[in-house]
Amino acid sequence: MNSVLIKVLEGLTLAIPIAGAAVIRFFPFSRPLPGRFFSLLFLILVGADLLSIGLFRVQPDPARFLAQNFALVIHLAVLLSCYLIFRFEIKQTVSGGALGFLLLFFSSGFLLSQELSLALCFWLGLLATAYLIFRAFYGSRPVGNLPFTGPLLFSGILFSLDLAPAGMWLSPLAFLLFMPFFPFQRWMSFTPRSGAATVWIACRVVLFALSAWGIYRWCPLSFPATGKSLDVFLGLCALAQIQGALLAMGESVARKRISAAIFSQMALCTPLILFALPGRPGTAAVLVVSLVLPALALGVLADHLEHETQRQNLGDMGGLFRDMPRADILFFLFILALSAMPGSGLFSGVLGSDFSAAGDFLWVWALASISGVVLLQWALWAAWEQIFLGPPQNTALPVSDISARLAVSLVLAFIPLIFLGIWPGILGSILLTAGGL
Amino acid sequence: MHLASVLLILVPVMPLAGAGIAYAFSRGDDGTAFFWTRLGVVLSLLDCIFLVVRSGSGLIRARLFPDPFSRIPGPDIGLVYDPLAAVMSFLILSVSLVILAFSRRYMTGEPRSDHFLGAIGLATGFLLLLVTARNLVLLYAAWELVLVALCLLLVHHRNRRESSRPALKTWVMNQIGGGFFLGGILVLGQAAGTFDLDGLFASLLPGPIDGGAGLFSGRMTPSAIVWGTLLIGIGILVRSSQLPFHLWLPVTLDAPTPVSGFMHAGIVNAGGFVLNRLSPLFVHSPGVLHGLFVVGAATAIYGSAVMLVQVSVKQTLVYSTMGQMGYMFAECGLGVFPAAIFHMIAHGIFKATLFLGSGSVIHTSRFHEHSPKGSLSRAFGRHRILWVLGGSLLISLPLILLLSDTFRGKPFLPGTGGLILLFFGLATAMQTVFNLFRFSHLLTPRAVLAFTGMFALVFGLYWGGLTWFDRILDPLSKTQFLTPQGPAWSFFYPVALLTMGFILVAGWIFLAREASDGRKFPAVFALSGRLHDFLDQCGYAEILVRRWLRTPLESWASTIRKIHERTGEGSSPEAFLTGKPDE
Repeated sequence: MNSVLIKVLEGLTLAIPIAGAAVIRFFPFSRPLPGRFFSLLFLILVGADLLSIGLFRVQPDPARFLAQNFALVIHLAVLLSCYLIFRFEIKQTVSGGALGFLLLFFSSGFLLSQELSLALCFWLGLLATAYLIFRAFYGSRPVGNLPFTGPLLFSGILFSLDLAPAGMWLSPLAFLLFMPFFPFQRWMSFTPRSGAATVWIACRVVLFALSAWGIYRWCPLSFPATGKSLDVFLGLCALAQIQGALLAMGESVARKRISAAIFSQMALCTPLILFALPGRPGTAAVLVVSLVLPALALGVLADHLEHETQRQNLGDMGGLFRDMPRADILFFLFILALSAMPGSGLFSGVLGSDFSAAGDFLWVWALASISGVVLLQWALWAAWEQIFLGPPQNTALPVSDISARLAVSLVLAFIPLIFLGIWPGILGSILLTAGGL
Repeated sequence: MHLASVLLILVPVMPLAGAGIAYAFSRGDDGTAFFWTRLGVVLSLLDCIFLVVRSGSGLIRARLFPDPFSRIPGPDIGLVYDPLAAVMSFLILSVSLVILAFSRRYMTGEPRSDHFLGAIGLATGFLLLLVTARNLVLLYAAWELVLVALCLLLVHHRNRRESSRPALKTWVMNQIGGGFFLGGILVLGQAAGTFDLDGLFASLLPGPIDGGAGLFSGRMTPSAIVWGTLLIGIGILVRSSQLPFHLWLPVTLDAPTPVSGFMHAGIVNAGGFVLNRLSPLFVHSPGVLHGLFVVGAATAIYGSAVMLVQVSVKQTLVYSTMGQMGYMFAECGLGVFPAAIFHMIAHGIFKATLFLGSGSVIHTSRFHEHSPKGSLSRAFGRHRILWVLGGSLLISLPLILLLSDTFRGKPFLPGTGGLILLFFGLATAMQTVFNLFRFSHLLTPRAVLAFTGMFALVFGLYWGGLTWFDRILDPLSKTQFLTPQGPAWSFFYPVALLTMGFILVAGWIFLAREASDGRKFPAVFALSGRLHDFLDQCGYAEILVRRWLRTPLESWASTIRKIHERTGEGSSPEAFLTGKPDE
């Protein structure tokens, strides 16, 4: 009975996004369907994911790929990101919301694929959709910017090599390109100055999470116990983290500073997620959730600030605590969560990670990581101080706070962060008792 | 779960809940906020009294969450109520109550005063969590959350950059310290396999510790203890504003007076508490303790010297706090942990009183702008005795501490450690006397009589307090004999007298220079002028930090951003072919 239900859920997971994209793109109704209808589709998908987790707790089925609840956690993160892309597509009348659904379709397919060739197809589709999103929101050139299109092309080629036995050792690079990993991190630390910041952050989050999954599922990294390759890997991640933190300090544009901070924390989480995935999927899930939620929330808040103030430079903002009390509090809370303050999921996830694989170089990495986080805390607090505190900047435009609905949504997004900070083992216990991994 | 455990959990929870309700439901009404915040603190205080009565001298433990961080199985993350936690809880709660009552009147009519009261409740709750934590991770979490609450208090005047910038500085400096603290915790936790304090201390027991093994062996080796305590020690020094991490404290004076009072009485002291809580670890690392002694003694001298040249009452009190914290670290560095706790409590209570009283002095002075020099005593009014009381206790602490050895009949501060402490103690104490001498109007027969009486009273209290603390805190935090036996006490007292004489002569020259305006002692006048400038600029520490740390860091950040922007521009194939930059 369960297996039938799970097949239905899998079908829904794939069918709803592609149907949504098709309806928006190819069947333009005389009167457009309301946004709530599409939001309901996303809600159904969330329900399907949660139901799947519940089903596998009742009757674990290790043979089924969907049983790997970690994939479901990633799927939830991807869902949220795609939903935000969808909303901004509608808001900015970019493509009516089809790209968000399409990205979700390919992401779901990639997570559900049990064959390498099928996974490759979905991955290529995912990369192409990401490119289309980039074009739609940011790129005015026919071929887009090289820092973004380059990694997409390389990734497709490198993952294709996985089909050939001789090229397998190169295939992890297909995914490492989308993780903050020196020197491939150039595109991730880049943030366009125009367009919606949230969409860019959501794109990065999707590619990051799916890359972690791709490495785990299709080309696991293996570090010889005696060699120095693991140390080199840790060192490169630490370099990317420090670079992100310093970039955040140097940036004077609000969205770029936030974006660089997210990049830096992604670099912190990269080795931890990759180490945790084989044996401790709960820790990896905590890290993914704790990274995704504040990243997206800060993206939304940054867009709202820019939209209301019509300004991008931190120095041009100030004193917004009067007009935006909700945004002020939520921005403060999410920068604390993103900067891995104790009590946040990110802190507990990082501290609960298994460091046993690393040798003495772990301490060098730890030193670099702590330094990076301290620099990040400096940059983020300074951003909050510049945006919300101090005397108000002279502006002719009236500014308004975030809506009550958005505020409630963000508060709901914050609660899991606290919950995971206090009890990070909860995700692990759910995933492990399901027997999926 | 036992009733006592539940009540223990409620100790930090009640002020936090009160603060939360104040934030959520006060809606700008400071009366409502005051009611809920005070209710939380009062209930917590009653709870503490009940726990003390119930536990006697025993321990009460409570479990909070499962421990996902420790490598070896152990108890869950939780709280403990021992004599050290009890003493600190009473200090925090009583100071918090006084500050709340003061703030209620002080902040009347100010915008967001309800949030201010709520933030005091938050800080109180997090401090209580800190003193009752029995796990290093929880301790660190509380340590950082106290900082968040402190910064919220500091940015109370949100529309003023003069408030928000110091808060940013406080945040950054303390996060640097927090990074060291976290590093130390990781080293110790990795070595012991657990972050639980009992487990950590148990791993120190004599056993198969390989003295030759390094830091990375994954066992509690001597090098792991040294590195762990060193890093935690640096973190503590930052929070307690000790050299060279002291720059954040003097810039926080723009905050409302109650914040200064609470900060100096409860938050800056937190470093001393952590040092005492982890004293079983620190005594295994005498090198680090000696380092703390050196830093503490240097800060005591620095703070006391800079205090001399300050013109602002609150600024003077800030440097006084630094000096007193320096004393406390020096005491800890010599292994006299119970004395440091007693010192901390005495300092906390009196510094809060002095800060809260300073506002009325400033207020009175503001309305008597044409008061002739020396007439400030009239402005003090009923606070005069308060000043004498507070000041006399502060300056007499080191001397009393040492004199109490004679009456205790045992070498409380044996050997060279005691000698060094005596020297620095006397130097700072005499400096404070000279500072008081500037308010010469206070040295009336009545004041001198009061001073002497207070000295005797404080002497008795201090001696009794030290003995009592030594007893009740044992074995959690006991006096350690870390320094080798040095010269005999027959040598000790002549040196003490010589030191005192030297300081008296130096002080007389200083005062004579002030009185004669440089006419009698031109060379001394020029030298002391330079010294005055040096101290007035706080040893040029701010300039040094800006030049050697902040500017290079910002320069690197700017360079990375420029490189980033440069490689981002014109990198599309079309831009490469046409030479036109990207849009």
